[in-house]
Amino acid sequence: MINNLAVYPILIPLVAAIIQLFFAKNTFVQRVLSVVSSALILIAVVFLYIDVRTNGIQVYWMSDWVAPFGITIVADLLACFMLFLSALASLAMSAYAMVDIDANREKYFHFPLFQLLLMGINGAFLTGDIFNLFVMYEVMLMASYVLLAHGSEARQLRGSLHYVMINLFASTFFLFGIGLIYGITGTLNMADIAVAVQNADPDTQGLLTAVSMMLFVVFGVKTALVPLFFWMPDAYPQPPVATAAMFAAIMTKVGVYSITRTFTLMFPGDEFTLTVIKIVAVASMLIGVLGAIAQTNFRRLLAFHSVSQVGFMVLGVGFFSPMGLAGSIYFVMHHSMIKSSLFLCSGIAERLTGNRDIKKMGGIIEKHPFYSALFLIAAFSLAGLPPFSGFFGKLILLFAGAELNEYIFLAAILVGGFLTLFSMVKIWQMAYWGKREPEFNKVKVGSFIWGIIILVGMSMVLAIFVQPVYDMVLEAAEQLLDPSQYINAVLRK
Amino acid sequence: MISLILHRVTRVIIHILLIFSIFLLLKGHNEPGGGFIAGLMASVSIVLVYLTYDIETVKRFMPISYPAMIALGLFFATGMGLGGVVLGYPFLTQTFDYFQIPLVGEIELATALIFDIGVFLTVVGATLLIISSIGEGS
Amino acid sequence: MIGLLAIIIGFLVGTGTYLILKKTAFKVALGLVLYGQAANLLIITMGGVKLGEPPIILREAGISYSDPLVQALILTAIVIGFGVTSYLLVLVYRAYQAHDSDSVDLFEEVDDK
Repeated sequence: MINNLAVYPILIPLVAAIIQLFFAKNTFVQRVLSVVSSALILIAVVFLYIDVRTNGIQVYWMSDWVAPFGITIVADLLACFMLFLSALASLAMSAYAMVDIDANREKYFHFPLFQLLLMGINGAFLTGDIFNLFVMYEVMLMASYVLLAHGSEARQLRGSLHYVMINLFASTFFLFGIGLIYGITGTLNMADIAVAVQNADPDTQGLLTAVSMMLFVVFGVKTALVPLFFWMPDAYPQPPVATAAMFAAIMTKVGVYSITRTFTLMFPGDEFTLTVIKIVAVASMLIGVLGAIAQTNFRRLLAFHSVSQVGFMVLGVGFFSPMGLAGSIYFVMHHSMIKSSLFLCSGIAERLTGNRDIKKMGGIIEKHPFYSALFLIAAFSLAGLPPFSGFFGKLILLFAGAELNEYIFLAAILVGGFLTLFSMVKIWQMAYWGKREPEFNKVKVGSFIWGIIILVGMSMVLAIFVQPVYDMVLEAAEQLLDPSQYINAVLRK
Repeated sequence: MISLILHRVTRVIIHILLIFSIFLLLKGHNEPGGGFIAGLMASVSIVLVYLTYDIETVKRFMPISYPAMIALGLFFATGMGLGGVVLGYPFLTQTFDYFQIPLVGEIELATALIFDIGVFLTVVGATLLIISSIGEGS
Repeated sequence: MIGLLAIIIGFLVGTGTYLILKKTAFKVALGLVLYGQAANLLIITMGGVKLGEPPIILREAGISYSDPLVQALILTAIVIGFGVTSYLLVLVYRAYQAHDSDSVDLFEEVDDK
């Protein structure tokens, strides 16, 4: 009997989406199934993690074709962490979407599309084949295209048109990269590519570096790194909040995950690529946050912040040390929880005031202190104030940088953190403090905040148990820096 | 503009096109063909109906909900994959066997055909959904 | 043969880039389609080009056959490209209806209510 655990995170959302499509008229069933599916994935991922911890990297051969010929599903520690995050975020988002999504969108398949998005994301985390990674990206993007344009409001169409175009462009580049990799190495299995790259003849080294940079551009577009981020602040303010939060929580992280995988497994970083990665990361960190300071549209501001925060994660990959990668993974975990809860907060603020501009909000704390407190925790955590999770994420990165004597990057982290704090305080002062003349819309805030409570609660857990969590991510980072484990597991040497 | 020639020709060749698409679907396991190309063939023939007549005719021609068609297609494709999981093989494992069928003789039936039928339904459903969403707007 | 294909790929990418830089959304979509075709051709070239060889080993033919993997890859890429392109065209059309313009940057900032 074969162990099917590794494939469940892909199968559960697929099956859920199909069942939801059959219950097209019955939105109650769809809502419940969304939550159930996320919860099931969460359970499966916990078991998968235990399995990987005890028995090493888990490999699964689709339809019994052995690697490197068939498509492999590979679950290592990093993949487990990412799957955990996607399941957690989708659970919170489903809880929020239950009360938030309007009837019209529900009728036009919001929930099945959401499950397909989840399937694509989980597939991208699990696949061990670069062409399959492309396919999973497309599944994810296809669902995201539809979710983004859902409802066809005029302002949605503009953002989603740009989003589809830039992503289609990046996908084509992905195909170019895959074609070149296949031409050079003759294989598409990531582990097999890693072996071929190690034994590559020195003449092709330049071409391989070019291909790896091509992939970096592709993933850079998907994660919105500077200078490829312009689509993001246009796209994220458009869809319903639950969708935007899911995009911010996980979809950008898929790109970070792919960068990590590419530059630890397939093209282990050399001096040149790592320098490029670090410079791009610092540029994103600073330019993103400067962009955020200039904004007054709540969600657009948060989208610019995503650009900046992705910079921190990619910088950790650029350090290419156990501590740097551990910091990167910790930061990914922290950010996917905090950023999505901030997006959900922005959704409630929009509902309360009927406005997206923080200048026209104000005084929310008087009416809804508990919800405001949740926002404050999330905001301080994003800015990196102790004792919240963002502080520890930045601290690990700072230690990693100090270990390598990269003091310029340390300064960049500190400046980025300071500017983040500045922009968060700006939201707090404008939207939550102060006085509001007209009355708020009547909104049952209590039914909306469950998703936020889950996410902020988990980030608090991350902060309180920082030592055990750090040990766990350090283990994952060490596994990443020793690609022979992955290669041996996949190719059964 | 109504073209008499196109009307008459469409009435005749629509049947040929649909039968050819089913031929491609059944042939696809071992020879060129398959669910996707057969699905495209079928949807192109329905596009022809749309071009010749209008969207109402297409709706009378295929009075089903397209999302349900996609769901059914996905159900077949995933169901075939899950069959392997239930029986203790990896996801998407396939098998085939030879059967004696009266009048036809010995033919090979593979579980991949179920998958192909799923793909066929999904492709037809998706194409028609796109066409109807453009067609209704104008 | 490979040289010819390289020229064609270059031509497609060049034309595609020209179209992508246009302001009209529909032309950008066409440019992206050309890019997709160039990528498919590149992948097929990477599998080694053999003229007149099927990707399937037939009983009557010899043992020579062309690389089936690249054909499977571009079939997948075509399927995906087909889906995304048709969706993009619907989107362009809808945007045209909503804004009465086909330009990619004519739509003004409308998200700050």
